[in-house]
Amino acid sequence: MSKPGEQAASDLRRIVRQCVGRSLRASKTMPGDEEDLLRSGALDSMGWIEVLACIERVAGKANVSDPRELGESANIISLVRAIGNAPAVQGMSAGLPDLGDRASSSQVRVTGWGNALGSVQQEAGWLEREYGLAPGKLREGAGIESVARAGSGEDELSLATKASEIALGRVPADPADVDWLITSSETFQGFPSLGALLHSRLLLADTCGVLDVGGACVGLVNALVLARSLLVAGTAVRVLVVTADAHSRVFPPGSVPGEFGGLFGDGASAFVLESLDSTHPSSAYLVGHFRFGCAGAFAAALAVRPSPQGGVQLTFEGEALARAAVGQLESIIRDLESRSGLARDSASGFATHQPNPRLVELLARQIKVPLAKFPVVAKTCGNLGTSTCGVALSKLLDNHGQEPRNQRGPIFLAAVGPGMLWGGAILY
Amino acid sequence: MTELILSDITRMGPGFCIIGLEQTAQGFRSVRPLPPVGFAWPITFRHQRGARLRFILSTPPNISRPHVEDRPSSGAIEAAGKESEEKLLACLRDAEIAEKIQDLFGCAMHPSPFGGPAVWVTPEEAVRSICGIPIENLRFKLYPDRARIALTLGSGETLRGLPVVDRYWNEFLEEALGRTQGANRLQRVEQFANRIVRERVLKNSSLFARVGLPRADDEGRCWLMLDSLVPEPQLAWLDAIG
Repeated sequence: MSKPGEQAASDLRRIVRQCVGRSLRASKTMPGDEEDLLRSGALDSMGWIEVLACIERVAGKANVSDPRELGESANIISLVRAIGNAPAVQGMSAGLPDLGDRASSSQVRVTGWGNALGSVQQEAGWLEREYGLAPGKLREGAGIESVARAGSGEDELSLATKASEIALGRVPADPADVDWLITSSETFQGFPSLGALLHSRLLLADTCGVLDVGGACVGLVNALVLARSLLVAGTAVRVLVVTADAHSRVFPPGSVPGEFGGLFGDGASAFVLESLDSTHPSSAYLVGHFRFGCAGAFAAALAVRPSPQGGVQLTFEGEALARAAVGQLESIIRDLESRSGLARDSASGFATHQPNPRLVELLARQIKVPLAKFPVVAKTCGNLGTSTCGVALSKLLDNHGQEPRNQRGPIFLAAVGPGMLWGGAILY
Repeated sequence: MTELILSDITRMGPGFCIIGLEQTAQGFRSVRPLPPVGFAWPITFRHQRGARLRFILSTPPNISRPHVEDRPSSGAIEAAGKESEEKLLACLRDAEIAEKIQDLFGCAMHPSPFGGPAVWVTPEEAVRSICGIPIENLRFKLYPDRARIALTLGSGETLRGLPVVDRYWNEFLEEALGRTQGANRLQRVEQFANRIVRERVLKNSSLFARVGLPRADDEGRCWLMLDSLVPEPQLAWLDAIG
């Protein structure tokens, strides 16, 4: 029986030989381990680079050094050595224990964040006129001063791209080192999905997986728990989570009642999550406990679906929904507090869903925390759907994400969506 | 005499392959003037992209796909001025251009049999060997003697693993490597290229790529490559190397 080190070396050699075999010129047979693959003509320069790329892909390694750069021969032995020296990127099968499997870490950090808002700021008065509402309905009734809406040329993809680039710009890693992209949107329709389009737009690695998750306003929390699971399982070291919504494209004036359509804005948020063993700033927030559920008793209060006649079919019982939403958000925060042992009084902020500013004020009063701990989102940008929670979290991280750990408190995330789905998380 | 605006200078073995734009009634078309011997102009080729050059061209007896732009020349070149990058770009946009990958060479793309992201075409199926395409994003991958690039096209599609044969970008990346000392040079220059350089390129309104096809390899595959990336890199950008 071979020893673990011998087994690993054997596995590395097998991977290298398989990759070389795939790129060999048609007339060539598998060369010996010490044969220079380029000088012997076994590979041309294109094939040699295919071999390096293949090794990175199959062995789950980043930046496998070209042995020639170190003055070594372009042979199988040098390639095996180069793999051993390269950092791991992606989780490997259990049969390759020494290829750089990350020890799974139960701790996950938020190392990058960003948000992007529609570039057109529409005042409440304009919205009231456009949606045929009585003057003051949005400003005094809902507390909305203005709404951020996508300008010409802006959509979910462009907003998501902008937010992602800000988030990725905060981490030292290259976008090509992202292992998974998880996206969520309540307005994007069609295929390729938003995740697939964003993957291409950002030029993430071709081995970076994509997940498009639902949940509407709970979408961010759903995406975060998936990201955390991938990282804890050792399947990834870096995950990009993105939300993006362009409500103005799906709820234009006339398509839905103004009391509903006038509430919404357009925006996106993005977060880079990394497992603890990767490079990261030491003060980064850790991702803690999650809570999820579905309160079906309130499912009928909000329903949005395509109408058979085209357009949108809407059921919106505003008051019932508001009562249920605030009660559920309060319950999520209470549960997170109990589960984590972290008090709401110590929180640096609350990144909750914000259906409208009045409900944020009501929630702050009910949970007895200062309104200032809720970043201003709905009041100036409108309800951003999936991205409300994300933009709020991004703003909190702008203020507290780089503070020393002992000078800032936890962040509570809580969101509710149609169904009534609910989810929450705590960062600390 | 045929006047061409020199649009692409690409590395080919020890020399350069060049392509110029010839004005037609409809716009511009690409023409590849061949030297008197072989396909590559010598390393001493002194003209720059944008130069207006005059050639005596002939039509080869049997043009073979995909290099239908090939025109043997006597090698006698006469310079007749130089166009700005802005003007050159306007001409490139008025020459062969595609919005989608399938329109680049008028034929099917094939995935790499090696499992990588590079794609290839069958020479007999391709209707041309050079085509312009608008791009929205790019990312470099460096190897000791060759750079590759991934592009996001205006259509949202991606082309990955394209060998960079553009003379100017190769010289720029080599200069960057030359100015970088110590361990992990390739990785550090790659990061420099994908952060600072990429940011400056993407800010440029004249973002455009010309994708070409080389001569077929031993297995009869023409792998897509990046002939030209506009804008040209600026040496001043290298001042940002830490």
